[in-house]
Amino acid sequence: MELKVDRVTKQYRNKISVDRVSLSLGRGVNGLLGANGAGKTTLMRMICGILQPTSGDITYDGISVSEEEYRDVLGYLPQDFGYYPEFTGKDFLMYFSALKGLSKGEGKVRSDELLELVGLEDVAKKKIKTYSGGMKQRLGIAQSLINRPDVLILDEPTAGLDPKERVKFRELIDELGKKSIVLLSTHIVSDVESIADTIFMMKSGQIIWTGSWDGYDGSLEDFYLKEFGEE
Amino acid sequence: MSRDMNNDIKRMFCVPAPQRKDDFIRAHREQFNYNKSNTLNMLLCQVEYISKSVWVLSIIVFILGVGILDISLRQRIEIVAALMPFVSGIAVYDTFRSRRYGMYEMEWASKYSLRQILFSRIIVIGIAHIALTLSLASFIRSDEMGFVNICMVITIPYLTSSIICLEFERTTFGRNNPFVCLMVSAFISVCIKLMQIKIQPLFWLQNNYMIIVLIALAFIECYEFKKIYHLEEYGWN
Repeated sequence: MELKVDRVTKQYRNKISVDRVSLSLGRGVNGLLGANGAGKTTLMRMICGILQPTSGDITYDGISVSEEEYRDVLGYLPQDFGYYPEFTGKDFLMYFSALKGLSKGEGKVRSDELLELVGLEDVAKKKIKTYSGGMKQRLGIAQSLINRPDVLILDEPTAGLDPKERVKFRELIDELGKKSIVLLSTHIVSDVESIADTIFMMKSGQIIWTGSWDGYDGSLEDFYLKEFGEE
Repeated sequence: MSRDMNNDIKRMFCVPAPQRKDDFIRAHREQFNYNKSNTLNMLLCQVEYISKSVWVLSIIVFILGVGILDISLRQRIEIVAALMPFVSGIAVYDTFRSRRYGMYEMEWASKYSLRQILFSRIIVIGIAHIALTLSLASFIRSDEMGFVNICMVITIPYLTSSIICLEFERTTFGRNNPFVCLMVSAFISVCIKLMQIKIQPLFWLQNNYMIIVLIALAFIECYEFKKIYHLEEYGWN
């Protein structure tokens, strides 16, 4: 199980968003830290096959990310997402179950499991427009888990979650990291400090630091602020 | 064991959560070859998620066309021709709603990608509208106006509206203004009406002219679909 990003660059006219990034991700939780505009979302979109790199290759166990076979094992939570106005929480998950190739019966069982996992079973039949920001985010997280992904890409997943939900989310991600490749982007250091096996720091489209924080003394937050010149 | 007792036991004791279900499914998945999606599944998956407004409007047009109102044949055809731009406008609006409602990134990353989803919607709605056109023409046809002629009269406004709406839907202006398709449909509809009043009723045009217009529109529509096909490559880039 290996997700390989090989010298990937993304250029928009005269701006380089991602600059010759190479990564190799294995099973476990990988944290992608960086300030806003560092290129995290662009990199994640390329890893999900939504955006084509200007140069470089991204493969999962030798399969290109543009292949359907890769998307079949991919779970993705974008930074901003919406919903069709007529959807309830359950409809939303049923819709994505269908798009991920699950039969109606499988989708129903899986949707119920996930609604319970994210604590939305009581409001499953209510319209999403009545949900709070945190509830919508939890629904988005549930959506990303429908197909039991081997590769889980989460772009700022903790945005809108309250402290209690954040702790629960970290436990969930920690558990998922034992079975899948999890790549989680954030600019909140505490989201990844305790659970990430590997941390990638991104600045101006480049990876400026890679490693596990376990072997280091001091706070990752202090190190991050120093690296980003925000001290 | 009686059925009552069986039900009582089910009610009194909760079924325990399956142990290591996730691990089992993942292991099971790896043992089998990958199942590639098939076209029929994709189409069926999208059918129930097409908005009711698309079907409702098509049914209204069909009912008006087959003659619920006590009006002449010519008036009936004119009403249907004037409503067809709305039928296609709403269909285009519904097909492209992923981006409008912020669902496209998640749909893009699903097994059935956004391109497949868009084409599934287009095919399902397209088949329904072809059936609508053919059934309307079968019902309305008379000695005064034949089957082919009626098909052309109601298809030309439909295709014109569809092409312009598709063009708008690809622009930022179109995506940010949910009423663009409605406005385009209304404009085409008014043009058709004015043409019928001021210049010449559409169905009085020579069949030869109409068939040329129809073929040209069909080509442009195919070109629009080709652009949609490349949408994933152009998207974001």
